Formats: sequence, C-alpha cells, structure tokens
Amino acid sequence: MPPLPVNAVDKIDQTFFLVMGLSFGILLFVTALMVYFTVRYRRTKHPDPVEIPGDWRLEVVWTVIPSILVLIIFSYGWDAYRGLRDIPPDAMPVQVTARMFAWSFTYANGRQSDDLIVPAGKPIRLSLNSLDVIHGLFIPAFRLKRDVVPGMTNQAWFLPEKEGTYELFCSAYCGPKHFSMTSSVVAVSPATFDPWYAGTLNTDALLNAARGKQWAAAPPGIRVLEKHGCLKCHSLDGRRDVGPTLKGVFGSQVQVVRAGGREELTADAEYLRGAIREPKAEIVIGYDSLMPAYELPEDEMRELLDYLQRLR
Amino acid sequence: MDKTTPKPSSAPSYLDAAHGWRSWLLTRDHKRIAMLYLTAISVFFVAGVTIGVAMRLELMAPGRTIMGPQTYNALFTLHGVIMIFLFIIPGIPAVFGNFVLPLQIGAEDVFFPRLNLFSWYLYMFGAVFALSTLFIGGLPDTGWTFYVPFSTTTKTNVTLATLAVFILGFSSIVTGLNFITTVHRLRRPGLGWMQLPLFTWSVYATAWVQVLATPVIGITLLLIIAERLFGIGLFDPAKGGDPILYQHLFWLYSHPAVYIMILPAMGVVSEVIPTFSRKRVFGYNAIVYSTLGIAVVGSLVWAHHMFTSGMSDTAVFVFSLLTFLVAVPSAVKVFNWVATLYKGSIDLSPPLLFALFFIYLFSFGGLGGLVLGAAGTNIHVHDTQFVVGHFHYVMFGGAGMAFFAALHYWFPKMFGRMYDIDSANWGAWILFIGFNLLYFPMQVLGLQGMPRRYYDYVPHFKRLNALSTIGSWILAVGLVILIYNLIHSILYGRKITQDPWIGTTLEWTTATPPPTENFPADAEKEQSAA
Repeated sequence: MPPLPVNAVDKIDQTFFLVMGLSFGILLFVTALMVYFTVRYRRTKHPDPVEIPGDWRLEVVWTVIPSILVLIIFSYGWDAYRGLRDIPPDAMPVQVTARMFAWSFTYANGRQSDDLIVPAGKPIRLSLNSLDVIHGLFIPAFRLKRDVVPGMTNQAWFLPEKEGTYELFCSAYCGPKHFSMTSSVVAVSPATFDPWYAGTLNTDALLNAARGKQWAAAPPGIRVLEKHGCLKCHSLDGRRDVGPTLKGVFGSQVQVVRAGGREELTADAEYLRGAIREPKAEIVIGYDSLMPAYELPEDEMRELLDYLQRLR
Repeated sequence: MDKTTPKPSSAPSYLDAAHGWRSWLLTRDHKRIAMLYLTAISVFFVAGVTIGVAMRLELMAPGRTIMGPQTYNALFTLHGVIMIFLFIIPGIPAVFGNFVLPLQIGAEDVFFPRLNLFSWYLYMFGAVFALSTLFIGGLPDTGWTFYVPFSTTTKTNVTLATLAVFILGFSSIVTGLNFITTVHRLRRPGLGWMQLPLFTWSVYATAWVQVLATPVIGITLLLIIAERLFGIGLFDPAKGGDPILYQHLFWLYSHPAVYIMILPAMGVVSEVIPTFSRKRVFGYNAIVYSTLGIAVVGSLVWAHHMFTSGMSDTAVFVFSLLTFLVAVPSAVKVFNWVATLYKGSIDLSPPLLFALFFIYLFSFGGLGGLVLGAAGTNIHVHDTQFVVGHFHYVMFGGAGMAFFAALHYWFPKMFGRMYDIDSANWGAWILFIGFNLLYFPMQVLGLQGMPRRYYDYVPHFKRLNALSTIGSWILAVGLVILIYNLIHSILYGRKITQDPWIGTTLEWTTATPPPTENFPADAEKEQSAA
C-alpha cells in the first residue's frame, strides 16, 4: 500500500502559527517600548533631552536579526507552498468548470455534479477551466486556492481526510454576482461514493443523506436550472436580475440585438434553445452579453422547456 | 542650537499676497498650489470615506441591507479609485511635498512652477473624468484593479475610468519630475545630500518611483481601452493573448505605487518624532539608506499579488523571497523611530500622537504582510478579507495617519493659526479605536475564509461583520471631530506668528505663514551681493 499522502494543511497551519507568534511578539515589544518611552520621558518629567549619537553596531544588529527571521519565515512558507503543489500521482482527477456564476465538476467517467462530491481519505486532483472570465477556486477548509483562468488549465489538489461538507467559494471577482458563486465539497465514505460514481446512487439521494437537504420534490425543470446555475442570474418570479427573468418568457415578445441589428421576435422553443446554446448571438436589449454557451443534453433541454412553458 | 527667530518681515504672507480667484487658480506659488491640492484631496477623501461607510452598512447583516449587488460592486470600485488615485498617491507628496519641500531645502519655489500648476490641472481633469462615470455609461464594476477579461467584457464605462487613471498618472509623473529637479538644482548652497531633511529625502525617493513606474500603468490602461474598442486580443486567450500578462503589467506599477503611498508617510514620521522629542533623529543614515532600499527592492516584488494565478513556482519562490527582503528596511525604520524617543523630552501633541498611531498600525499591517509574503499562507488568505484589512492597516493606518500627522504638524505653518489641541487629541483617539474595531475583524474574517468583494456572505460570518460596521461608525465620528476642528481653526483659530513646535528644519526659520518668496532676507542678500 502506498504511504498516505501528506496533507498540505498541517504545514500551512504551522507557518500561520509561526508568523503570527513572531509578529505578536515583535508588535508587543515595539509598542511596549514606545509607550514606556513616551510616558517615562514626557516633557513635564524630563524637560532636557539627552542627545544619543547614532550607533552603527546597533543598526547592524537590528538589520541582521530581522533578516534572519524573515528568511526563516520565507523557508517555512515555501515548504508549506510545495505541499500544495506536489500532487500525489494516485490522486483522483476531477475537471472543474467555472463560469459566471456557477461551478461544475466532471469526473473521469463523465459523471457530472455541481457539488464537488469526493471519497474521504483519497487525494483529489483538480484541473481548472473557465468558460468566461477569471474565477478563483477557494476551499478554506483545505487552505486551497487557485485561480481559474480562461485559456489555461491550472492544477490543484487536496486531501479530504474526514467525511463532511466544506464551503467552496469563488475568490477572484468575476462580475455582478460573484458573491453567489459558491458550492460545497461533500466528502463521503467510499461505500457511498462508489455507487454514486458508478451511477447507481443518484446525486440528490447522496446530498440529502450528506446534508439533510430536501429538494427532490422540485419539478425536474427546476432541477436542471439549479444544476447549471441558471438561477444565479435569471429569476423565476419576474424580478429583473443580471439576466432577464424566466417567468412568462416562453411565447413572449422579446427585443434583441443580433449581428444584423435590432429585432423583435417571439421566444418560442427554437429561440430558447438557441439562446442557451449560443447566447452571444442574440442579446435581449437592456442586458449585458455575459452568458457563456451551454450544451445541455436533449433530455434536460426538454425538461427545461417543458417547465418554462408552464412558468407563467 | 543657534536658531535665529525669524525677523518680522515686511513681505505679506503668501495667503495675503494676492486676492481673488485668479490669484489662486493661476498661481505659480508652490504653497498656493499645495492649498489647491489640499482642498481637492480633502473633498475626495470625504467622498471616499462616505462610500466606505455605506459599503460597511450594506455588509452589516447578510442579505440586502441598503443596496443591490450591482451598486455595491460599483461602489467598491469607486471607493478604490478615489482613495488610491485621488487621495493616497497624490496626498502627502502633492500637498506637503509641494508646501514643505522647497522650504526645507531653502528654495524660493519648485524648479518648474508652471509645470507644477499644470500638474494640478491634470489631476483635476483626471478626477472629473473618473467621477463622470457616475453619470455617463455606468460606474465600472471591476474593482480598482481592472482585471481582464472581465474589464474588457463588462458594459460599464471602464474606458472612461481607465482614461481618468491614465491622466492622473501623468499628473503624478509631472509632479515627480518637478521634485527630482528641484532637489538636485535648488538646494541652498552648502546643503549637502546627507544633510537633507528626511521628509525631503522620502519625497525625493518617491518621485523616482513615480517617474519610473507610472508610465507602465499608463500603457497598460491604454491597452485595456484598445482591447475594449478594437478587440486587439492581447489579453484574450481566444486570440492567443494572455490575461496573466495584464496582471504582471498592472502590478509592475501598482505594487511600487504602494511605496509611492507609504514612503512620504515615513518621511513625515521621521520629521515629527525628533521634533516632539527635542532630539535629532536616531540613525539618520540608516533611515536614508532604508528609504532608498525600499524604493529599489519595492519595485521588484510585484508578482507577490499573483501567487494563485498559475504563474510558475519558480516565480513564486523569487517573488516571495524578495518580498521578505523589502520587509527589513521598514523594520529598521521602526526601530530607529522608537530609539529616537529614548531619553527625549517628549511632548505628546497631536502630530506625535498620530505618528505613534502610525508606528503601531503600520507595524501591525506590516507584520500581517509577512503572512501574505509567505507562499504557503498567502494561498489561504489571498483574495480574502484578510487582504482588505491588511491593506487598510498599512495604507489608512500608515499613509492616512501620517497625512493627519503632517496636517497637524504643518497646519500652523500653512495657515498662521492654531487648532484646538484637545479636540484634535479626542478625534485622534476615537479614530484610532474605531479603526481597529473596523479592520481587525476583517483580518479574522479572512483567516476564516470570507473572500473579498463579496456583497453577501454565509451566516457564520455575521457577528464579525456587524462588529466591523460598528467600528466604521466610531471611525467616522473621530474623522468628523478632526475635520471640524481644522476647518473651524482655519477660519477662527488663534493667530500665531511663531513656530509652535520649535522645529529644526529650514521651513521653521521663515515667517509663519511664509511670504511668497519664502526667504526674502536671502533674496535681498543675494541681490546686494550681485
């Protein structure tokens, strides 16, 4: 059996304690001296200053000692950083796709999820891709952060030692709803993970078990919308958001800008399919061209359109 | 100390030398130009603070409090642009550098007085451009960093805002050029380099960074405009460009820019501490060399803003190491300042109080910088509230406190009136307490994992956010007391003609407030000799 990979978190936390301990000591020392001198030599008690000539030996001492301290901190920091970068060769690969303002995780066998579901105790290797602007994958519990840059595949890894649910944020400002671009890491036992990975356990059942969240009752159309992060920008209640509301959109008259100019057309199923697959081709007037293209499987597309048709 | 008390001069003070708006808006007197800057900068500072307090109010509780996300994103961009480009960068050099530097080297004015006025107009022009985005095309929502590709895709008026920063950069370059030439050419005969006051030294070193680094941001921002208007694809991966290139170019200026912000502040502290201790500064040479060291090494650490970006690990190694090296000269300065207090005769007047707050807050922020400089810990706190807290500790706690120290130190010289000492002390303490309550929780929130530029947050960040917002109110009260005291004193303060602090640098040897020619007695001597 290969040795258990070293978790990068411990070394990082050691560096945190080292730097903060040292910093606290230095700050306390400087502040205490400053306050002491100010009180001890206040003008009412100490009217005549004593001129102290400069002393190069003292300057050397307080140049060399901080230099040594910072070099120690540097080497600790570098060592901790390498822990984040040395990806164990047996790590399980997961493709991460970021777009405004949602995450999607794709596994080696094609299984897909918008939560990062992983087996506890196994190192996970993440390949990061962006469909639009720069995002940042941030999992505080694993001290992990890596920017997701368009045109570039960054790598990262972490080791979820214990089962549990951990927050996952977007750390690089990516637009109007940057703050809502959150997801979670759900670490489950291999006994739960394996059937999910194989497709015999469905995602909702797994998530319900992991965090007691109930959403199985929602109609399938909503599930598609949630899964792809559509609701981050499109409301269901007629409210204006980053994108147009989906309420009553099916069959409505929309004003769009396309290559040829402005146009008014009816939002039928054909238009809506196009608006999802190639959103940049026709932009509804009054909105920004921010939406990336989505390739939905045909069954999801049908569930979605079916739902929109009934959303009045 | 054989300091001759300034003879009552027959020449009127620079404030009384001429009247009417033309005498101000067309002046070439460095002291009047300093006043023009002070007025404009104060207005922008108050605007920036107001936006900051509004943002804190929004973050007081999860969910919507007073504004929507788009407004919030626009406001943190505007707050950053105002505070950085309109307040901190020009703040100390343009106001106090302009007023004090020529006086400190015994000069009649700066070397290029017309250029000096021109640079103020450039500044105002840039400011108007920046603020016009409020009304034209929508406030940018990119953050003050204008990162691509978002900044080239958003429909908001990034073009106008970057053009504004471009113009402001020119103002900064022209001012820097002027100061460099002035220090080289107009020093009073016999005033050698190693006799220059430390404030002059720091403004001089800063001026070099301004002249050398600012063109980079100018070009970079023009490239953004070209990208937006013509889609040249330099930063667009779909066309073979690289968004990381933008980050390098941006920080190539914007990291040295934080030294443009902090070096003059250190110069102020190096003047105030000796004056109020009645001593010479400890380790003059060490402070001069550390100033130059910071200016040089500080220009080589820019990519420590990009440890998570995906640049090579070798680059992370080099930039982390250089970042730690630049910490040393700052530490040397702090030790020399504290040593200056030793066996002094210390008068804890408002300028010194602000200088001591500077040392505490700057050390706090600087030590937090070690967490950011270390590669392993940087990854966790990068792009979190920790960075926001750190930046405000070093910039507001550092440069901001020094701005107030300078204002309270040179105020009597500038206006020939004295402010109320008690009000200033009260204001300073309330500001200090509010400051820590506002920014310390941010640092903790960052360690707990709350990202920056978040309009909303998960419930367990609630308590510290509420605490931070309360801090912002206390800080605002302190500022109101300070600003009211100063404005009231400009109008009604006790008139003075003597140096209240018994300073030792040249600006205290001329009349208070100084006459237009600064040192008319010298000019007469020269004329009679000729």
